[in-house]
Amino acid sequence: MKKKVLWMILAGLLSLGMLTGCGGSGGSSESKSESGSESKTADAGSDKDYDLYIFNTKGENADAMEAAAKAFGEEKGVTVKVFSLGSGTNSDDTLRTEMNSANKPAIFSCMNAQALVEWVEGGYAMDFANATNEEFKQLVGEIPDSFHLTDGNANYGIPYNVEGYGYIVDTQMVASLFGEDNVDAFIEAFKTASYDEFEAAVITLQAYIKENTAGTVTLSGEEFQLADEKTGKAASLEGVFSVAGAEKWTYGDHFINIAIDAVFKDSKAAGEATLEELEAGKGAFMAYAKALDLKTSNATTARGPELISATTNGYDPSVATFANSKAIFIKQGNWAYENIKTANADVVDTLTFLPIKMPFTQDDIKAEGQTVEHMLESIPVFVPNYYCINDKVSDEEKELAQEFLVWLNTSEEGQRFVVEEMAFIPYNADPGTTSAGYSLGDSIISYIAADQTLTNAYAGSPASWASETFGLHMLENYVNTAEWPDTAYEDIANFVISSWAEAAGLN
Amino acid sequence: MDKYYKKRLVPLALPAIILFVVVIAIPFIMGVIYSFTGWRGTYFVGGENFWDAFVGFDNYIKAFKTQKFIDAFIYTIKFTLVAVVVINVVSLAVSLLVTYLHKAASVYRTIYFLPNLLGGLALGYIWQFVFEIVFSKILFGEQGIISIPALQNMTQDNTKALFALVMLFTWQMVGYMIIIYTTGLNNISSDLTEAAAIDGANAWQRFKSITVPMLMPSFTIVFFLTLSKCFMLLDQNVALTDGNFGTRMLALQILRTTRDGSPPDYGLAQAQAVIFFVLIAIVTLIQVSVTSKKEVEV
Repeated sequence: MKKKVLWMILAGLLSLGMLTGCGGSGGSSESKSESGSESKTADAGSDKDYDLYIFNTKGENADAMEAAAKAFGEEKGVTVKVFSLGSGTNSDDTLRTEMNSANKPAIFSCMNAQALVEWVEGGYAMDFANATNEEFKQLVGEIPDSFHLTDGNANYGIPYNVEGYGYIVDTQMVASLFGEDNVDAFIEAFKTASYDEFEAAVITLQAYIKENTAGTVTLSGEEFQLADEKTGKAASLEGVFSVAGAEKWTYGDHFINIAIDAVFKDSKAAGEATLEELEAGKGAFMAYAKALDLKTSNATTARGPELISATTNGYDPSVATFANSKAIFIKQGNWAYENIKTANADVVDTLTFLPIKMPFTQDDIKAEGQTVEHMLESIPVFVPNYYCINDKVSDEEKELAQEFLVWLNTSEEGQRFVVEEMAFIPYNADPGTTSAGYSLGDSIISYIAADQTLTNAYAGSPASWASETFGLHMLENYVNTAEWPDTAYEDIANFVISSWAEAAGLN
Repeated sequence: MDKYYKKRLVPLALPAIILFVVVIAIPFIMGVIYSFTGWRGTYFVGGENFWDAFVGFDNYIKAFKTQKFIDAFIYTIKFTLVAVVVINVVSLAVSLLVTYLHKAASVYRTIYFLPNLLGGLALGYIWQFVFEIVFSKILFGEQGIISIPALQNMTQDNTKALFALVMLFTWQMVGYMIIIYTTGLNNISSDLTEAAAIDGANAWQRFKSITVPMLMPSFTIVFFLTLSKCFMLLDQNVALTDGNFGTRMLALQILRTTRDGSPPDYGLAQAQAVIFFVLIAIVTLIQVSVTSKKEVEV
């Protein structure tokens, strides 16, 4: 009898051990920040071991966020728990699991209006009109209109930071191609150049690289003579562009965003697109196709099945190609800074952004107030992620969440964390006085200061349409084919219109 | 020993039973219930609880109407048909060879089993490299040793990718199936084959009338395993093609359903998962009962 009882106990313990393992909230890199001083909360009845729970989906700043949370915790005398996922991991499912548990995060991340839909419908996103903290309400009121996270009725998010993308170029490469004295002039002339000048320049450069034919590049009327011999960095060039053909989001999201910006003012307008508006944008979409044709025909890898192979033209290989001076331009954003640095630290300090050019005519541009000149000299600057406050947590936690966001975005200490440790460009930065501390960040700030920015209107397109429907179509039919049929530009434009309309349920 | 275990049946089996109930049975039942509701992952459309959000069979009807689901379904069936035949033939042939060789048979068996130890994702990425670089450039590409277009860029075409997946999966599973077949072959008493040889049966007749019927239990197991594993293939599918070029199989389709719409339609995904379960259950039950009847008891 004794032995039987012993067996039952052992069996029960074994099961318990397995169940507690399954029962804890999942995740890989969990951490807690303890405060030194006594806890201030009156959560006498709660069994939580933290006062504020932040769910951070941007993996790149995980360490910095923990440090910031700890500093905040020490200042206010509270315990803050930060949970971050590895960068590049899809965090949606983990976030939903946390939302279903008893310990919901008070602050969580939301990428754009499309992702916001489920949180608003489920009652998780707090409407900032109901905020209780005065400083927070002031902070919310100061967010520029184009940076709002909204479903049309209310404001739900505080921006993390701003990011931008364009053609990244190494000024040292420009120096070895055109001479050191001409670098600044070249950069300035490029920004104001027309698409035709850009196209001619690309073709001249590609001929120079492949066949060593000397020539001159004309931008904004100024002529730049190519060096007779390829010296220095120019010697290793294999193509004008480094194209990540295997990554659908580079041409399915970011590249077509330029064309969508020509048709819609911002993501909200794009979210409310009608069939007529889409069809009116056909010219802009054809311009996109032409620009993509030019880019993929003058890349380091010839257009064809190899261009979409993940091993040679994935994100990391394409960044390495650019960093090792095998290409002049790469279309990427400031987030690629760390990747470029890892591939080749020599080039990172001399990088700058140049605008992405597409052959728009004023007729093609349907967005109000947009002009061809502005589009040719601007880069998209947008908010990639927002902080939202969870409406379903206790009032104390909501108050703490508001205090944290105020602290992070307005206090000196908080801003120091944002700019220096997280390497973010704050959305509310004064471009005149802020320095990002690194080449690409400062380049973006200069574009903001000159008001040469575009929005990310593509975020208003139907959920996952941009990369999964449109990007996939381009990957499978155009980026992997060397020869495009004569009707390719029109076919692509028609596909944009019809697939968007279908995904949005417009027809 | 048997008596020892029989007396302690309940406490010894308890951990496994609890684990099964908590981790498999309960979530399964919850999932089936949720498939009849408008579940969105974190909330229910139309109410606070699942019974307020009841939508009946809507999710199932929508699942059958979704083009992506039908495409994934057809592709999975095509893949299963090819893979089951190939794996069976290859593993039977190799195990016959291995038993025939006698010497160092266990060394060969170990080597063939090694690929099975690799996880699905690792395997998929390795073979992606093989198909994209080794096949397409070094061996069979335009500048390769012999140019065979059919073997170039296999991950970028619907049909070619099917054969690429078959190659990958065969490479992984053959080792495991060989062990099953060799055990079965070794259990065929040599008296039978000797008697048949004395009676004048040649090798093919011996194979057909003795080996095959006696191997039926092994056939049952191997068919069951390959059939269900082919239907449930996920890791290798993600790693090799990520569903591009129409190569999305059923398991991947269920996984990606939640990303295809905003808000994420978990109810629909759950309905697809239940259909998936019923499908595999029917197929494997039929297959097990059919092949069991052919087993020969000695």
